[in-house]
Amino acid sequence: MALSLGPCPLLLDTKNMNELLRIENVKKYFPVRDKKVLKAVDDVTLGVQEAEVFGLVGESGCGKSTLGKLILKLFEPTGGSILFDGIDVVKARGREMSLVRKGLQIIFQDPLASLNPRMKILDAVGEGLIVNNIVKGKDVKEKVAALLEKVGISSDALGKYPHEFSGGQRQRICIARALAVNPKMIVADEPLSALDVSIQAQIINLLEELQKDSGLAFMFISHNLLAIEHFCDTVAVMYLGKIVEMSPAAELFSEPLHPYTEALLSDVLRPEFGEKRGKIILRGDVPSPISVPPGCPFHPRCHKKFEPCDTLVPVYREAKKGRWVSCHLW
Amino acid sequence: MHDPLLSVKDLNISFDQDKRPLKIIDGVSFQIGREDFSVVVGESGSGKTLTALSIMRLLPPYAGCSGKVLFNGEDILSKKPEELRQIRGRDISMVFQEPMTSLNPVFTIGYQIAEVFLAHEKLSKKEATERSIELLRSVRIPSPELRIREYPHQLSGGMRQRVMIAMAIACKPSLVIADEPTTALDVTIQAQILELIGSLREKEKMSLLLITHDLGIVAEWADSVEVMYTGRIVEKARAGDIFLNPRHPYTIGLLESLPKRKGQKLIPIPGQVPKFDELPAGCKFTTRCRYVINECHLREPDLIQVGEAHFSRCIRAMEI
Repeated sequence: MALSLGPCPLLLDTKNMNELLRIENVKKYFPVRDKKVLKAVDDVTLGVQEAEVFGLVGESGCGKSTLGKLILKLFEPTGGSILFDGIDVVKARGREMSLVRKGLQIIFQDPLASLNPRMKILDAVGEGLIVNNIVKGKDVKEKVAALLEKVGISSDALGKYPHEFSGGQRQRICIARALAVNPKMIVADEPLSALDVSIQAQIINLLEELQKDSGLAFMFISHNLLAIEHFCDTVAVMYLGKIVEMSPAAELFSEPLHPYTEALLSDVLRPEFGEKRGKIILRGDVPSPISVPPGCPFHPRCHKKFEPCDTLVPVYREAKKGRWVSCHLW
Repeated sequence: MHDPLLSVKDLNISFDQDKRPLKIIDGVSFQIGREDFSVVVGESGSGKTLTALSIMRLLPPYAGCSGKVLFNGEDILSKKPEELRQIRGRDISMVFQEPMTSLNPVFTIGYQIAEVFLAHEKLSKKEATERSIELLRSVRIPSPELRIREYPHQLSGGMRQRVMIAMAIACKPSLVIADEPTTALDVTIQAQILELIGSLREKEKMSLLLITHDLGIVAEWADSVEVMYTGRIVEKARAGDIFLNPRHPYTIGLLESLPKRKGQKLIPIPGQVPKFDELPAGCKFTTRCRYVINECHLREPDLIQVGEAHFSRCIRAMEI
């Protein structure tokens, strides 16, 4: 085994690692007018290993943020199970839930909106430490300063308010706050979108360092495919509430299986000068998740549509080793 | 060489702060040739939108503005309001970032497009409506006969941006300014809109000035590029030179900070853009530049020529 030159031994290794998060058949339906149902997340199954960076990509309204919030129990799922570190998140109450909260943290898109404007940075970052009895009294200040240093903020920040910082610095503060309880996994919901290009790179590097140094797992939710490609080990592509393709990142980017993934990747504007690559221009807009098309939900926009697509829902299955896809082509 | 379509000369824009003028745009000069696809790239607060607004003379009245904006040889900045109304929409038009805030929510889109024809061409209402339907078809909106009766909120983001583009090209202007036209849109819709803009530009032989922070758009579409930082052009060149032979530390920094394939570490630009009232003396990029030397702090460098149609505002442009 050790001498085999077979395909990517790394992949085999991940099998033996511990699974940190397991989501099975999770659904989140919202009732809307006229007794209709909006299926924001529909039957999603996935697993995240310890220290893995799991990327969730899709266009607005595909349900990726809802899924992130379900994992943190910021929404109650309509159905399915969510297991984090051996704890059933859906049923967890009291002490168990506080273990989930300690193990699982979130960073949001807009750091200004997620920091209380009337709380000093010391209190904002220190709150989690005090609530969870991690440190007490005078030590809080010291610990917060250490956390801030870890994310590249000097300790004069302690007495300041969120508005005194730039967007990039605020996102660093939010990261420090998430790190305070020493989590095993962070859900990062579009953490770069509100930031300028030169600052985005600073934040990606910071997340990457944290991931490597402390073995943090990430659920990285983004529509920025370049960032996903750079940062993630495994990627799931969502469309209308469902995962249409899930695969190790390198394989997904070199050989997308689902036509939607293929179109998404072809539409990425790469900042590389040279010949223009062929783009797949999809027809029309994403349909409303209230009236999902019959058959394969992607068929009205698909450039590879054939006979069964508009009537039969494709099965989500492992088309190749480690590569899951729901498409009649596979 | 014949005259360029648009020529911006030494544009300065300042706002009063505490009764002292605060200079935001400093000495911006550039040209756009006929049928050129020109892109201004920069981060938020670099002054790229202000520059675009000044071309249409849409700056707020309290903004102090000097310099020349020559369009077909005539100075836009010295025109009377009624002359400007003739130019706007007919010769130069603009597409904004957020179509929902640029469309009037209480009028149908048909009415809003027809308005362009009624203002600039002596058409009857019936003819204007017919032309609007035609126009919506040309921006590939399905069943335009029905759509013209709809209100902006009934359309998706991509559709609204198509309507904005339709309005912009209604009178076949020679210059269209598009300010971050795809930033609010999803990836697949962004591809649709850019492809539409590109093909319309070729068909109608328009010049395009596109403003963006996305270097991907630059690589894919631009003929010429102006890179802006703190209200100044720091580098201008043909698109290929920007990517293959960047000559300003800021451009180099931007390119290096973009996500690469897995495993390659990103090199961010340290620090952040200084505020306009805290700009350093000398070169404005000194606070973040890794090539900085003593002379950089002494005086602000001029834009110097570093190659054919290639300019950089850096005294070390040839060494880096």
